[in-house]
Amino acid sequence: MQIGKGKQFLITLAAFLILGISFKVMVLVEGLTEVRPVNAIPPVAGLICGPVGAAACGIGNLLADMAGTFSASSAIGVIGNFLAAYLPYRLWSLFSDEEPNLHSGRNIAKYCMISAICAMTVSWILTFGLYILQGVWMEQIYVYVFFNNVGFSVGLGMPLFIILTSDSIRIKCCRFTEKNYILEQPVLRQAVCVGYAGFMLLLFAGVAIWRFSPAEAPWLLSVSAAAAACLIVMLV
Amino acid sequence: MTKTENNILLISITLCWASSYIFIKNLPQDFSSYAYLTLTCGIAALLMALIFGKQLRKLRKSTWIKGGILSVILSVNLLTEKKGISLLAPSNASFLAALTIIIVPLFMLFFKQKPSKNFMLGACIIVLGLCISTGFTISGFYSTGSFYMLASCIGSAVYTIAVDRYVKEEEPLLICIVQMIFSTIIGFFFWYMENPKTFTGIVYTRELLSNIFILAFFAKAYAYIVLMFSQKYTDAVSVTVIAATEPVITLGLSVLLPASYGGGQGVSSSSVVGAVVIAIGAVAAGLHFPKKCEKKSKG
Repeated sequence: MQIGKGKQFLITLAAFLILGISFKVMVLVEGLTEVRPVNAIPPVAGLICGPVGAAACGIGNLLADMAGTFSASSAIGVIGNFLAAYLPYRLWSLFSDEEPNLHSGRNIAKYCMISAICAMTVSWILTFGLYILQGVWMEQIYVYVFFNNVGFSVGLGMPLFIILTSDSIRIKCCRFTEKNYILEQPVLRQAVCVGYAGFMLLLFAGVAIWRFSPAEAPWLLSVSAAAAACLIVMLV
Repeated sequence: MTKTENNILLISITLCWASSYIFIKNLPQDFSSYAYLTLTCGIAALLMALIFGKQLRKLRKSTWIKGGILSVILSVNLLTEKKGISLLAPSNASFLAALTIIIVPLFMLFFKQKPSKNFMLGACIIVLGLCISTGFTISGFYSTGSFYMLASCIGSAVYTIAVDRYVKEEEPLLICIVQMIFSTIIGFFFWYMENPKTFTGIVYTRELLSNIFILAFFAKAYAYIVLMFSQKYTDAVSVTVIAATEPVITLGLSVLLPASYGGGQGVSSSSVVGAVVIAIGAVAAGLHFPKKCEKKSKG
């Protein structure tokens, strides 16, 4: 089944709005985050619709924020949700030549790993974005966003992706086939990805496990800068 | 669809149903069971019709009939379950609900389908796990609540077996939409009999609408579509085994969710041991090791 780009955008946006607004009542941090099953959508939208799905997630998050939690930090939310969908799309094609599917144990493991990296990325962007732009440090935001993303991406996103790629629906996934402008060799790109995953794990340990803030541990900002460089190299 | 994919789908349904209690609990105390059935099934049917509108052209008379039968069984199941939960202690209600794992294979005997040895072993371990998780302290079974809960349990078993047969003959998606439409009609009929004001008799708040919408989306639309799809590729017994792992998922939710949403509760050692035993039972029921043992012993 092949769906047009416009329809892909509208379906993703509608799903994001419906789920995003419904759960605004389950607030975790007032004005910032809530229990978000809507986080199941970005990895699925990214793997199926590519950049179109990612754009729908970013805009959908902004519109959903207007139903209760709209603030200056919503701009960071747009970037976070865009990346939550765009990163799986790029990472999958970096580590696999086949169209995204979960028909094998290896692909299921790949999906879970990508979901975990994306969850760490979104939590990093939101927490450090708030710190850099507004001077607010809230480690619980990192933890809530991480568990919201990884839990719902795997718990709900994975079954949703299985249905959409099943024999009955057989939706055609979007694959990244263009050239990477900075790192042409796949081996180098994979090495940068591994480095990025390492930086993300370090940040996760620093914030979620050791409970450091950038004021106490300035190395968190250095690692963030290195991670940001890796992210740009991977995406451009 | 591979077996692993199918199992992931079934686990996600169990996750949806296990977490739905949070939202049911958030509904007002005096909220009618019939209103609940009408609104959740109605919204689910509407959503499905909107998303899969084009598929509705393929509807056949047989799909309407089978969908209608399923909706009657489902309505009986949901209404008796809600009544049973309201009259029983939660541990008794969940224990009785989990007995479906024994009732399904018993009913399957009517269709001359004998459960496998590994399933029998798995079912016994799961029941043991349920007993452990309740601390062997179940009492107060002689009540009307137990009658409702057992009726719901039988309804659930009949429903699982009926779905198993029907989705192999009809398009799963269509039968699911028809089932939701009829369930809405049944719910609305009883709701009207109970309170003719129906929709106008409800005080709509943002919380109520959110909870209803979440239940309609996850516990109805998503869960039933996925159930129909996965039952096309598996049998009723496998569905029952995975559904029996609900206490394991509930335990996980109670640890992960914040206290204000029904989580953050202390986890007793008996519930942890019970959950582990249930998980072992589910794995045992899903494996085929007794057959291999038989072959080896024959060889």
